[in-house]
This record gives sequence, C-alpha cells and structure tokens, in this order.
Amino acid sequence: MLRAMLAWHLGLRYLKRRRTAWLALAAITLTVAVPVAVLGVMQGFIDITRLQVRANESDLTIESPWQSGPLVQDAEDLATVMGTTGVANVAPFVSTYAILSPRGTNADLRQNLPCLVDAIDWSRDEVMGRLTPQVLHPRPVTDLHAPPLAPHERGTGFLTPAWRDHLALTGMELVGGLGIGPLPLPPRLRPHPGVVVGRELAYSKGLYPGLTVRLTVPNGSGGTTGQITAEISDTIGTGIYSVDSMAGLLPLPLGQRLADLHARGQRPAALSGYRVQVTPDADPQTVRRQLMLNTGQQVSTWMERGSANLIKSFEIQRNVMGLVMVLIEIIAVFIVYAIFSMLVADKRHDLGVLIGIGAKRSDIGKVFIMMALFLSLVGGLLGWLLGWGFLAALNPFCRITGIQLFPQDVLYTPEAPISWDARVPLFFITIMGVVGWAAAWLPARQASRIDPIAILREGG
Amino acid sequence: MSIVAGSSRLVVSGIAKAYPGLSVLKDLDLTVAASEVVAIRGASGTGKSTLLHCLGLLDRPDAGSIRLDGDELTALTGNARSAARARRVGFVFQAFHLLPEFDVLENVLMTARTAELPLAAAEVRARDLLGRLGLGDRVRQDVRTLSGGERQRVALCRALLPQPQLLLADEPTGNLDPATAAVVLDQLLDLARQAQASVVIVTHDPAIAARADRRLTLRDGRLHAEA
Repeated sequence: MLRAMLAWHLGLRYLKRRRTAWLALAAITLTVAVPVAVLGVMQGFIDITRLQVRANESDLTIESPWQSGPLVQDAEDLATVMGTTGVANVAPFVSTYAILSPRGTNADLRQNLPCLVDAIDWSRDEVMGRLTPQVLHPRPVTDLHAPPLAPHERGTGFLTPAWRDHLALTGMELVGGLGIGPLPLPPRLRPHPGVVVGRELAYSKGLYPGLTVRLTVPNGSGGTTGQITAEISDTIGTGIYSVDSMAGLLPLPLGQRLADLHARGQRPAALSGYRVQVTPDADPQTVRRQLMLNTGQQVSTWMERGSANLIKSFEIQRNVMGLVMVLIEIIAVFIVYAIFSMLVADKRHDLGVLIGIGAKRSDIGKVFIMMALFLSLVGGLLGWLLGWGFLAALNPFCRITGIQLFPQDVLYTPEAPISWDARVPLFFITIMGVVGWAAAWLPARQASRIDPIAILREGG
Repeated sequence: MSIVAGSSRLVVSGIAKAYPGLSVLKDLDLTVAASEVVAIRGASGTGKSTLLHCLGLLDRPDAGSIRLDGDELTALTGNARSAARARRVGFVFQAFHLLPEFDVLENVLMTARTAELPLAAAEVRARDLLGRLGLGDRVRQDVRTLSGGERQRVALCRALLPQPQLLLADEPTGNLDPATAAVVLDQLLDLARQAQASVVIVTHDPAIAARADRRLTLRDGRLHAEA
C-alpha cells in the first residue's frame, strides 16, 4: 500500500507541475471524445434504422413456397400457428406487386407506377407491434381535403373513411360473435375503400389523399387482370426507402379481391402468408423451425428479409469507423510516450536520488505507469463527458443555426438520432488505458534503470 | 591492515572494487562501533566515494563482505537491497540532493515513504527533527528558497528520519561557508549520537576529521589509521 502511495505521491506531483502532462491529458481527452461523438451518431442511425425496419417486419413471416400457391385463410391453420410454442401474435397478409395509375379528370392516364401492395388486418398488425402509431404517426393526417404537406410535416394516419369502415367491420364481427349486437359505427364520409401510399411515392409522383387511383395486377382471376379503384386515404412514412417509395397499404379484404384471393363460390379466401410475433423469452430460430414443421410452409426471420441489409451496411460502416478510431487512439501511444520520455529525462536527478535513498526500482517504474493510467482514466472520463456533451448540443445547435447536417428527405428524421450507449465510451476508455500503459512502459523501464551513483556523483 | 574498534556494528572484510584498468579498493577492512564517528580522508580519486557507495549498498563490491549488526548485506539483491538501504542506512551528500518538487517536510518524509514507515508517526518525528535544527517554522517552505546550510539540515533530517544504524556523509559541509559548516557538523554529530547511529564521514577537511572518534586515510585501495 505504502509502495503504491509513494508512486502516487510522486506521480501526481509531477503531473501537477508539468504542462506537458496537461497536454497528454488533452490528447487523451480528445482521442476518446471524438469516437464517442462520431459513433454515438452512427449507432443512433443504426438504432433508428433497426426500429424502422422492425416496424415493417415481424419477427417471423410464414409464406407458401413459390410453386405451392397461396395459403387458404383457414381458422384451423391460424390456430396451429397460434398454438406453436413461442408465438405471441399472428397477422394475416396479402402481398403482391401492382401497377398504380391515376384516375379521374385531369389525371395523366399514361402514368404506370409500380406499387408493392401490402393488404393487412390493421388491428392485428398493430397488436403485434408492426406499423405502430409511435413509429409511423408523428403527425396524423385526418383531413382528406388538406393540401399536400411539406416534407417535414408528412406523416400518416388511418382515421380515414375507408379504414374506419374496415375497423368498424372488424369490430362488428367481433361483437357479432359475442352475440351483443352491432355497435354504433362512426359516420361514413366516403364510400370508397382507401389505399395508403408510401410518402416517398406520393411525394415524387404528386399523389395526395383524396386522389382516386387504379391498382392493377396482371395475373388476376383465371388469367384475367385483377383491378380495383380506390381513393388515396393517406400516406405512410416508415423511414425505409424501399417501402416508402413503393408501398400501398390496403385493407385485407380489398387486397384479397385485387389479388384474386377472395372467397368465391366454393373457393375459400386465401392469403400470401402470416406475420408472426415471437414471445420475448422465445428463441426465434427455435420457433421458426417449429412453425416450419407444424405448417409445412416457408418461414423466414426479419433479418433474412431485404431491409435487414440496410442495418448490416450501417453496422459495417460503424465497425470500420470504430476501427479507424481505435487506430487513432493507438497513435496516441507516441504522444504519451514522447511526453513521458521527456518527463523521465527531466526528472532523472530526482529519480536517481530516490533510488539512492532506498526507493525500490519497481516503485520508480510504477510512478510512470500510474501516471499513464491516471491520465488515461481522467482523460477518458473527460472525453466521455465531452463526447456526450457534443452529442447533447448537436441537435439544438442545428435547430438554432438552421444548419441541416442530416437532410430529412434522405433520412426521414429531422434530427440526428443519437445513441447514449455507455458501452462505446467504456470501450474507448479501456483501449486508452491499454494504450496509456503501453506508452508508459518504456519510459517507466528507463526510469527504473537510472544509475543513482552517476546522479549522486554529478552533484545537485 | 585491519582497522578494528570495540563492539562492532559495521564489519567490512576484504572488499575489493575495480573498474576496467583501475583497481580502486583492494582487500579493504573496516569495523565501526555503534555511535562511533569515523572520518575517512584521502586524495581525490583514491576511492572514498566508491567505498561509501559500497557501504551504502548503492554499489556492489567485487569481493569481500559487509555486515551490519551481523547481517550480511553484500548478498542482498533487488527489493531487499533497496529496503535495507532505506531503513538501515542514511545518506548526507555534499550537494544536498533535495527534491525541488516537494517542500521541506515532504522532502524529509520521503525516506519514511521509501522505508515504508507509518506516515503519521514519521511526520511527528520529522517535525521534531526539523524543530531541533531550527527549521520548525519552515516545514512548508519550498526547498529552493532555503540557504545552503538550511538545505543540508533538511537533508540531515531526511537521512536520520528512519533511525538508520549507519549514517554515511560525503563531504557534508563541502558546499557551506566555514561558520555554517561548523554548525551543521555539530548538529550532524549531535543527532547521530542521540540516534546511536554509527557515522562514516568522507572529507578532505582536517577540521571535520578532527571531530571524529577515529581518522582513517584511504590510500592504495586500503584504509590506514592516521596518527
């Protein structure tokens, strides 16, 4: 303990009296602050992208194999899926590509836009955490006659007549099943069922709520074309470009009619598949395997679907940037080494005298190791503080100055998303500690090998 | 020639030390009793400082043994050697060798730290020693602002703080004016006697040598008693 105290006593005093020590502290602080700030923003983008992707993708998706045809919408199948261990919620869907073209007076009928139709049972999707209002409804639009919104105002909302109809019908079925009787429905303002288009699609093509469009599927019933006319009831912004530039959400029955999957005669209604939410304690891979066994269908995880690549690409960028930052920290070895070598040369007399009066050589070496660890720790904590301070000030600064560092047209977020994950600063402080130790090792060794006789002969 | 005193604290037997092309100490013997003051004189380059460094465990003789209160010291290595130097041997240098980064009290306490003594008790003793040497009101003073005599007193307190069995002084008054030198020497001898430390002083000064119990001359690598 006393030996450690001697090293601390000397080390702290030398640090206090040396300007170069403060320089080392500043260098360490900055080399920790920069990665903390940079990776805080990068991790923020990853987090928000993951949130957006997860808002679009369920944990698991059951689809029939390509050659097998659609799944029959069957209560027994649904019960089988729900009865599988680890399944929390299930939502049916119909997915198909369609051509979207405008209708009505003044419409340019030559426009044929690709549209990825996703016909869903909204209430079931919402229950399972997909397309939640928290993610998708920053500012719901309820006025169908309102003019197109500015990009930063564009949001989505489903309180439109078509969706209200759909929800009311769902409610009716439920209430009817319980034998209570029909509930009073909200007033139907418009007779047409609606389509909710991706806001990027709406923005780039000038689509807006209230506009009538036609959706056409080349392969309809019996080889004929499937077609519906619907009103754009709203726009949806998920933050995922591939979705927002092509998506067209429809109520499930309408989607079934469009894709020719609705019940007709003896033919039961069919689905593209089911989206499945897994219970928090279940292993998705285990549930996946079990579902494949139970249903005989193809089951994929959200990571296997297209949008997951976006997260992976961000993660690769983050990892590369992190590696660069670690290399920068390693360069700090030379700064700390140079400063400590100067300190050893400067304090050669004192260190020699201390060895002369009985200080252990190992203690003299420890002076520099402890100084380096102290500087790394204090500098690292200051760097953490500075890095997070920068992150905290980033968005207010952009708001006040009007500087758009992250254009929202691209990123769908008006502000820089920031991650406050403490593991990032802790990682870089740890690296700095190792770097500091390595940088001080050689000067410490030099110090512990000072010849006291030479010093004592030299005179004061 | 063997130089022997009564009850022996320090017993040096046949030590030798040579540098390339130069034999400095040759089969040298020395015995110093407890509380005895021995002065060693000799021309420049005869090996006085080398002898002192060997006695103080700073240097290692090529041959022979050094025993302090019966303990063989020459065989000690590493931390044990440092510990023995810190606890059993005190040094007073001509050039004081105080640490400018620390104040008076901190300089004195430095030997308590190297000897791993309890700091609270050591501080009481340090203040007492400084008080006895007239530096009681200067404990927090920057050592760079002290006079030569004051610096040597601080160095003396530092050397005696761990109550060493052996005090080694290399030209302790060499940098002081005659009047101050006399005072400092008096204080050195007084404190050493009170602490019952054996003292070996290397000096050119006949006046200092005259104050010693025994006077020896280092010549041709060996010690010779002076008349």
